[in-house]
Amino acid sequence: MPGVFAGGDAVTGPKTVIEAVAAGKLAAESIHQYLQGLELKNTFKVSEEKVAPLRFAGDEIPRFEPEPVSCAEPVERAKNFSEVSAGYTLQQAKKEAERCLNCGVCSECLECTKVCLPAAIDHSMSDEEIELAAGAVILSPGFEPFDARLRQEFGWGIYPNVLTSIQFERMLSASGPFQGHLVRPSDKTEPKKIAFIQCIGSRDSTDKGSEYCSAVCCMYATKQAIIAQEHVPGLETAIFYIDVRAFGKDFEKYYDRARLEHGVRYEKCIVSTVRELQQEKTLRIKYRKANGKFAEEDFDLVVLSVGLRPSASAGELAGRTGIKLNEYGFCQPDEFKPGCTSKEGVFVSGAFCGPKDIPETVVESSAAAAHASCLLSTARGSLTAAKEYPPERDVSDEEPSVGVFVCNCGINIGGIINVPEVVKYAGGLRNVKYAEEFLFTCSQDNIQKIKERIIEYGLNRLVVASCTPRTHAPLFMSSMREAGLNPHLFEQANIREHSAWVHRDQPAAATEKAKELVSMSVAKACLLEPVATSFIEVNRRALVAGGGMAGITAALSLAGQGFDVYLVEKEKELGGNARNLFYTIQGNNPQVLLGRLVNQLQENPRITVLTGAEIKEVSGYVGNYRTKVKLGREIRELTHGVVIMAIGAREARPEEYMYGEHPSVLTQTELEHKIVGNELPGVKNIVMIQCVGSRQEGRPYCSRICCSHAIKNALKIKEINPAANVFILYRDVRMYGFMEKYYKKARSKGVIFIRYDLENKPSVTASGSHLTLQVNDPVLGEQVSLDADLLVLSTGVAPRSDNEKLSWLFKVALTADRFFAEAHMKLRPVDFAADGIYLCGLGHSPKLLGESIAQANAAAVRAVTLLSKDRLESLGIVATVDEDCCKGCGLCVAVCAYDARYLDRENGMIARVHEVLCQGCGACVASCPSGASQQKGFAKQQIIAMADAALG
Amino acid sequence: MVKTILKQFGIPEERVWFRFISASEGKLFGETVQQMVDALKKLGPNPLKMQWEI
Amino acid sequence: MKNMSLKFTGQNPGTALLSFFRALLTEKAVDSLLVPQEVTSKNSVVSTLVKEADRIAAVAPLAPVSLANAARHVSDLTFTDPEEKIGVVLRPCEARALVELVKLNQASLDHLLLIGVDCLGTFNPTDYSRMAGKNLLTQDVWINQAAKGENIGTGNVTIRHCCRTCDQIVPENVDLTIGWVGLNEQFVISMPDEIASMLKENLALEEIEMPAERLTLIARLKENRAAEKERVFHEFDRKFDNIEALTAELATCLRCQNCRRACPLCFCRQCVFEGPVFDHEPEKYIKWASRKGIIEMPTDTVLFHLTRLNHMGMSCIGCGQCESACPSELPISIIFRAVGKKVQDLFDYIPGKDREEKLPLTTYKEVELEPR
Repeated sequence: MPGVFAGGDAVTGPKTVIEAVAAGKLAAESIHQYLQGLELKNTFKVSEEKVAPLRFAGDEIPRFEPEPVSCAEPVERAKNFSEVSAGYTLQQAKKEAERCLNCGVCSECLECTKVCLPAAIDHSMSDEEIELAAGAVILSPGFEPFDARLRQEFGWGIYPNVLTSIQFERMLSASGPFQGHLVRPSDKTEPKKIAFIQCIGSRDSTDKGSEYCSAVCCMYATKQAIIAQEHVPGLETAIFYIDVRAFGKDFEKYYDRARLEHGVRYEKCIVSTVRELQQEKTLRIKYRKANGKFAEEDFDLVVLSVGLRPSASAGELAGRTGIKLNEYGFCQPDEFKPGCTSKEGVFVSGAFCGPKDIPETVVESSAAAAHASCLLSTARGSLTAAKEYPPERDVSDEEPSVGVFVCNCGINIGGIINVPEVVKYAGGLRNVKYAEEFLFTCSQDNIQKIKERIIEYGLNRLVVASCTPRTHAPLFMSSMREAGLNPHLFEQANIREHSAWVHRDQPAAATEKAKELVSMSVAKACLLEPVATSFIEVNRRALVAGGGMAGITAALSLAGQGFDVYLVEKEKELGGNARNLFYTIQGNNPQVLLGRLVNQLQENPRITVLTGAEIKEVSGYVGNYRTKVKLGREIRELTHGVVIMAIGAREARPEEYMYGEHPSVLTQTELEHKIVGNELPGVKNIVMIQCVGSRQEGRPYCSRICCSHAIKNALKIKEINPAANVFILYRDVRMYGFMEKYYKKARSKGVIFIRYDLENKPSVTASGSHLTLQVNDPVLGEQVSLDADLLVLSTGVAPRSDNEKLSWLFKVALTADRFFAEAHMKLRPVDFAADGIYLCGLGHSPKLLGESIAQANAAAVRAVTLLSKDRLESLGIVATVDEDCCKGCGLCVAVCAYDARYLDRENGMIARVHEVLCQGCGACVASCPSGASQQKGFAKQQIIAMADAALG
Repeated sequence: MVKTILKQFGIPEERVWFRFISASEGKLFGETVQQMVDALKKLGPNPLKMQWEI
Repeated sequence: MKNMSLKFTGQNPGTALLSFFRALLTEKAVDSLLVPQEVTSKNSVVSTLVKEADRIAAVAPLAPVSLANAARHVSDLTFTDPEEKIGVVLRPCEARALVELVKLNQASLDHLLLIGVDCLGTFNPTDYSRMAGKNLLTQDVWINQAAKGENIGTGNVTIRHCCRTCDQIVPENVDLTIGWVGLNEQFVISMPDEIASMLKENLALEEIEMPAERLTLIARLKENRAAEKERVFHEFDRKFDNIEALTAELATCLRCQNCRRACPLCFCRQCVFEGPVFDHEPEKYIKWASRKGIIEMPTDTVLFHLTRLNHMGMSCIGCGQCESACPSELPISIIFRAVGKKVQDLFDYIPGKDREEKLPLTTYKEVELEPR
């Protein structure tokens, strides 16, 4: 703003008087120049938002006057030599300290620059606005926990022993406020009884809470209860809930374990208040039980399972990017386009889209990445540059000549360990040609020095004694390559984590240990040999097994990202289970989507669709699979680099409630067909039973989709014929996330929900065409009899019988429930443990159509991470076999989890290594009796040399 | 298996530990090592070490 | 399967056996035959591979001596496809060893006719040789003397202790069994129907029911020996429970590796103890000696046995060849059998029992090795 000049703390934040004077003088000079019409020199423009902000608004912090220090009265002082000022009492001192605003604004004392040894702090840096050219944007701003203060009746912020689940999670953590000890905040004693109250701020129709279900709280409360019990033996935990929504893969099993093994108590009820008993600070919970009666119970600690709210900045972000948010403030994507927003090129993922847990977040993030990848496929790789290295020096004829570089890591190591002593010791070890210390070995200039020393002293082995190789080995190894050495002639001694940090209080012993670690590394380094990694070409074609919605989506995504695809479907027709879905709970028509996608498939030149095709034989490995497919009488061999398993599942067939015996007993899918076919005239009373065959012995998991399936059909029936009576007999209504509103809608439309439990299942009797249901109503506390024209069974999802065969063909794992098992539930939810095989759809676990679509896109982009490579490189530390020693017993083949060992029967029964598949786990080496199998970089001799060096 | 064999050779079970510790259980690993060190200190040096005939 | 009686009334049992083995070759039941025969000096018995029927002169598969476990030879013959049908004669412990070798890919049964023989035990090769030299013990003598399950010693020399505690007299997992224990002046050979019809004419075989007295005798012997085994294992457990007992017994090990060469299951081309891992620099020995003040040379003797136990203990079928081969007469077989048994029990594994059962190390069960 021309003509306005500023200086002092308002501009720079707190600074010294001298600097304020300087600023004033500068301002005066500038004003002078300005008035004279001269060009402004020696000054800088201050943009409005840069004016140092006040950390708190004026009225945000209650104002306290300074506590006066009590002094002895002058009359008293005259009598003796006692201390005049008594100083603060403990309470006073605390109160006074609390006046500190913790403003944290940098006052530029510049002490930090003095202690930062590598001089990394630059006070002259200022904010920069960077403009990035991007073809796609993915928004994942996350969520915020519900503010528990809004539900005052539960006492958070009032009673010290009422915590939110987030606080409790921190408390359980080893790095938390009590170092992982579970104590009551009020008196730091271990609680004996903890209550968890669910749905805080969720499923809450008042204006304070949110209508939707937060989807994750049931499981995190269950987890916290189990962990709390592990912390405090004998602890009692109770979870006060409305419905236990354990709907995810293997969640029901976890819920069962919590109840049956850990004795976590689940109390179905509605909690009305939490009150503190003033003496013990114990908390009294008042709640209404399932039978309508009120009860009270005391707990030492209460944890509020707070729900998920959209993040405060979400609205602003939406405004700036021009995307639409739903009625709750989340960026909820279209049901069939998970990851997409209302604006092209802008994608979303995570809890910004709606409340969800980690596996789903990871899946949807990958799905968003897949969409971005489709959009940008032509630009893939255009911004990368390959690094050039000099030719490698042959060191095979040289005696070991080791260079040892000992790192101070600033004061991390140097502050404890006597580094010069370690350097001196290392210099005296056999085969050590050169030893030196660095302040930071990993800094740019020291890496350069290492390269110079390698050449100067003709070093051919490198030992760096510093931190963990996990983070820094690649850097040092790369510097060796730059100096013309094979990078595997490197060994790192971790004297920071393994010595300096863990023996902080015994510096002398830590120094001795560091010496031993160095001597071990040197002993090993002398025996190291160059390792050449090997490569295999990648066949950049994918095979998608299964032509249901997941398979179709994955194929289209892969093709969209620029790769050729074989889509193999067992049935004559594509579509899988989606063929039986005619409307979703949100009112969309899957048939329209299916028709459109099948058209796109047929028009896409990159996709070869093979229907009526059965997978017979699979051979090869990641990057190079050969799969034999039977098409009618013909057998066709397909070659491809990756596999996506989109096998699907089927609706379970019930064996109870007269299914198959009485014509009026149907499954939900059969009902849907009848509704669409308009075959329900005159049907007045419809009873639905949930969890048929599910969540019990035989099929212990929850099928996730049945609650919404039932409510969807119930709403449709009510829409067609509002006079029809629909009863839903349920165990828990698992309408997670935004679906909660349909549950509410169903109730408001007059659908009647009656709860039953496993011990007290409903029973059905027939007389002629007429059915009668007997069910115990827990609210009324008595047996209720329902007449039914139709009995509809929600039977859930069952794995396909050929999962076993496919798991064997592709060598991938199944869960105990016979669904396919992903590599890691949270971190790798669409990968199999073996590289190159991915999974999606119902074959993974029961899920809704939109969720399958997200997972299919995720699997596709995971496959692209591999397909986009020209070739795969093996790790350096792979297994090798001494062909003269190997007798082909096959033990290594049997123990290899990665299919990296195979018997070469043609050339004298030798167990060879697929280097690219080998993950360097060493299992084969351990199993080999003759020592023919060895691991590069971990050869038996090398390990023995290290042990020997350690023993001295 | 190793325990069974070593036990027969006079190396008691307490000297060979097998524990499943996942990569994310750093704390448990530390505690376990500490426990093992304490236990071994209590047990004293391996009697085999004293034997020269092996 | 048919039980065929081969009578030897009025002739030496060996002669009847000879005609049987010749018939196997001449009737083309097999193309070649791996069978033990007396050496020319008659004082021992070795394995021979026979192609021509008339070159068989002194088959002695029942002579109570075994210089090597024949499963090793079978491995040599079938490591890769031999492309012809070979009949191999196996004692129960040899048949068990073969099952383990098949699991380890070291032998194949595809072209074999497994001919099992009853075995009441064998003498130490030196003992046998001494007695056979004096004609005190030969195959014929043995069959006549021991068929009732008694007189398993001659004078104060008796069969190897390993055999005294072996409760398998009739081999399992074979195609054809030559039975003589509990029989009188006849062999009862259990054989597949097609071989029975091939040989019937030539040898005047007669199909019979398995004599009940044979079955009773075998059951009784089995029971006695199992009890003896139990006792010996128990005694071992008591004796070998401390480091002193161990060093006392193993102190004289030379690490000559005879035990591993005799072991039918130590299939490695080169033992890890002969490889670079144990090929120490001289300074290492000095360093070790200075660490302890004194070390035994050769070093790593206990480690050698521990390693072998670790590698082979699970599959040890208890033939005792290791002990017969030991120049220092160390009680290796009892160590292997008793410790092996414990390891095998951990995984409910019986080596040599079932070809289809996988080696415990190559399988994974969700519940195993739980604290018990």
